[in-house]
Parts: sequence; C-alpha cells; structure tokens
Amino acid sequence: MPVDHRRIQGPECSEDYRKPKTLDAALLKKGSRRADGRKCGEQRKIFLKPGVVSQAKGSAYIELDHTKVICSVFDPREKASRNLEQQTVRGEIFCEFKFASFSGVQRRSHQQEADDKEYSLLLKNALEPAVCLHEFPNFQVDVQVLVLQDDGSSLAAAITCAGLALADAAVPMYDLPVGLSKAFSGDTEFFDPTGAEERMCLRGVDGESDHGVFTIGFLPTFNQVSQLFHSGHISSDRFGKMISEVGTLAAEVHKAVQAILLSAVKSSIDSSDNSKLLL
Amino acid sequence: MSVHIKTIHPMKYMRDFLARNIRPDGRKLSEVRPTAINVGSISTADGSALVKIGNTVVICGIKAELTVPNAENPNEGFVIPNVELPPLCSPQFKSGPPGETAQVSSQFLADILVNSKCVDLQSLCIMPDKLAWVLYCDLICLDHDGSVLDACVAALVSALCTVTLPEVKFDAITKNKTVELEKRRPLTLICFPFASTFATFDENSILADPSEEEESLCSGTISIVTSGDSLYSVHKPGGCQLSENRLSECISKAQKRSLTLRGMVEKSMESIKS
Repeated sequence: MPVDHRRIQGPECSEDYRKPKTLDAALLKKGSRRADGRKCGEQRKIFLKPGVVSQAKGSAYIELDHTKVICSVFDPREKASRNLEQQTVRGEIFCEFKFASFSGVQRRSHQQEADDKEYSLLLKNALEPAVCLHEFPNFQVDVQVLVLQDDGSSLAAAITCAGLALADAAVPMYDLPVGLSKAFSGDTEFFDPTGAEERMCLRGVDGESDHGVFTIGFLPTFNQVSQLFHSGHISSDRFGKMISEVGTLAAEVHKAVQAILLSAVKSSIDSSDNSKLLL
Repeated sequence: MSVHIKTIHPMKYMRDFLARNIRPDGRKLSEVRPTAINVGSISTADGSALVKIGNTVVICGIKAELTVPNAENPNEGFVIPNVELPPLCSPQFKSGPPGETAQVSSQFLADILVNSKCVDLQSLCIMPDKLAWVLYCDLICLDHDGSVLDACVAALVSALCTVTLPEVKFDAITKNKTVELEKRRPLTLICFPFASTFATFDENSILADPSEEEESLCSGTISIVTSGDSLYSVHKPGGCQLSENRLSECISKAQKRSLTLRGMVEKSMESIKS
C-alpha cells in the first residue's frame, strides 16, 4: 500500500477477519419471503429528512433499513475552467460519491476508489436531466454524497437523497428524480435488494442465465428514465417488461419524497412567520 | 436590519452582544450547546458512535483488522485515528487529500490516545510478535459548526466503548487463524478523555463551545482534554494571551464537562444493551 503522508499510518498490511455474507439458492423459491421478511416486490421502509447539514445550502439524509446515505448541495460557484472558449449557456452539476471507510463489510480506502468514481458519474447522469441547467450558466452546483452504511441499493438511495437535497437547496428543477434498484436471478426478482441479495444476483446462481442488478434514475412526472445502469445478463423481453414496470414501482417513493418536501417547506414558512411576529 | 449589521460589521455585532454578557445565539458565555450521543448505529463497523454538539455532527466508525505487531512493541496492538473533513460538511473544505485542519485533528487524537493510555494496547495483542488487532478509527465530520475537536474526541471515546472483538485462536506452528465470530468480548477502556474548546475574544471574554461564526471572529481558541481530575492535553494554537487565572478557570470547566459527557456515554451504552 503506498504511504499516505497526510494520514496517520497503520501497520503496512492488515487483514480483515470478516467475509461478506452469502445467501443460499433456497431463497429463490417463488412466493417465499426474503431474509428480512419482505415480499419480492416490496420496498424497505424509507426514512428521509431534508435540511440535516446546517452549513450546506441544501441537504438530505436517507435510511433504507441499514443503508444510510447523506447528501449536501452547495450554492452555485464559478466553474473551475476559466477558459473563455469553454463558456457555455449551461451550468453544470459536479457530483462526488463516496463510501465511508466503515460502510461496507470490508474496510475501504479513504481515497475515491474505482466504484466511487463510477457512481459519481452515474449520479450526475441521473440528476442532470432533472435540473434546469440554463438557469445558472457558467456556474457549477456541487453535490456531495457520502454513504455511511451500505446494505444494498446505495446508488438508488443516493439518487433519491440527492434529488431531495437539490430541492432543499432551491436549485431550479423540472422534476424530483427518484432512484430504484432491482436485482434478479433466474425467475426471482428482488425490488430494493439488500447487500447480500445484490451480491448473490451479481454472481448468478449456476444454471440460470438471467441475473444481475439494475439501478434506475427515474423522473416520475415526465415518466422518463434519466439513467439506467445494469450489471449482469438479461434477455430483451425481460428488459422490456422491467422498463414498463418502473413507473408503478417509483410511485411510492415519489409520493414519500413529495410529502416530506411539502412538510419541510410548510414548517420553514411557519417559522419565518413566527420570527416576523417576534420583531 | 440586524441581518445587515451582521454581514457588514461582524465584529461590532459580536461585541454588542458580549457587552451584555450574552452571545448571538442566546447562550451565556460559559454555556455549551445541547449535546447528543448515539452509539452502535453502523452495524458493518465493529464500533460506532455519532456525536452532535449543537449543529456540529461527527460520526466515528471503527474497523478491526488483524496484523503483525511492530518489532519495537511486540506485545501491543494499534489504534489508528483519522479525521476526515469532507466538502460535505462545510463549503470551506475542498475535495482531495486531507487539508491542514484534518491532519492537525488526526494528530491531536493520536496524541490523546497515547497520553491518556485510554486503550490498553497490550489487550489488543493476540500472540506476542505474531498477531495483534489494529483498530482503524475513522471519524467523518458531517456538519462543521465549531468545536469539531470536542465532537471528535467524544465520538472516538464513545465508539471505542462499543467495540467488541471476536476471539481469535492462533496456532504458531501452522500459522492458522480461527476467528470465532459469535464469541465477542468488549474492549475495556482505562479512562474516558473528553475535550472542551474555548474561544478567546478581545482578550476579555472566553466563550465555551464556540460555533463556527464565533470561531471565525475570535482571536484564538484553546482545547483542553480532561477526564475527571486528570489533565491530558492543552492545545492552544497561537491566538492572544491568556492569563493563568483564565486558564485554570477553563480547565475546571473542562473537567466538569468531561464528567457530564462521561455520564451521557454510559447512558447511551446502557440503552443499547437493553
């Protein structure tokens, strides 16, 4: 491991004693409940809260059982490149996605690893179509996402969380993006998979050809998919069927996000009214 | 109107408040912000804690790994703290390698662990010279609103309280390790150090637990690490002069606060056991 002079160094090499949990193929019986008691098409309970970071313009925190993600959005600032030729009529979103070192079963490095960088790009692709970029030309909005604990569907949770944080920061948007993820192995499909289910579906069970994990960024009002990321193998009819179901699956999450945003706006209006009365 | 004075003349705004012995957020000079400690929320980590002091939030996650002890200290394990101040917590931080503030905070925590001997490193050793535990304590600031060092030390100590290590059997001949995941023993701490930060303003006022605004306007800060009667560290990076009386006042306030914080940690530990 290269020596990092800016951090306190531990011993040169250390070994993790843990191994990630793997699931049995016995889970794949149709109609049976999943390891945490959910049905195959059921979403985990969502806890979503905007305005959690006082120093950021907008922020949000999402919890999907054990997956915990926090996001901050900052005021638009001038784009890094000052080259006059590169000035355009569109603003930019700069996304940074990071898994905390203690978020997974195995310890992660402090620097951004390959999957952190990949997810940053995927997040940017998912959020860009929803934001009115022409409203802030030559400026960039920073979106910082940190996964505190990863138990599957962390990118989907990050998309929902970042969407709410952008709305909390009053960044002009066309729609509230919502993130969904679905894992499947053979005939069984898991909506909003946990970490163990994701690992099983990415590996694929022997003999089954269709397997993998889908992460979708969806704009519910326009019924458009802003971003689709798939790892694995799927047949084209199965793919078509999955896309047609996305709208109904996203409806529940979208309703929750809208309700939370509405109550946050109401309470901020109430508190500003109260402060006017005190003066 | 008051919002405009605050932006144009922040020092005058501050002084007007201090002249009446009160701070802009309504606190008295020696009043600390409401503190909350939550332990054990990150189940993927071996120990975790989240500390909230006013708006400042720091989360600490501890991961235990197995390693070979140092040749100089063959009976000891390692505890490696690292503080991260990501751009998420405040607009003043940029992404990339840790800046000066983060490096200073990490070193500060490492010094406290050595000075206070809070964790008995020999209890982390499984077999001398062959196998020992290394605890990577990663602290991430989620919201930077002043007194981050206080929150970091509290989060580190609370997280260390929750660490449970599985039993490891090591055969020196075959070099085989067997880890019994079900049998876990908690880590015993020898002492519980806590930090208290004070900001000096205009050489007259001393503000306990300064917020980010107050820290940016003050002429200097001082952080004192105590555990009941024992004093482990006094960190005063530059700043204006401080008389002996003021310093002893600060130390006694810090000692009282460390006892309150210790009570809070013990309460939160009990709540997860039940």
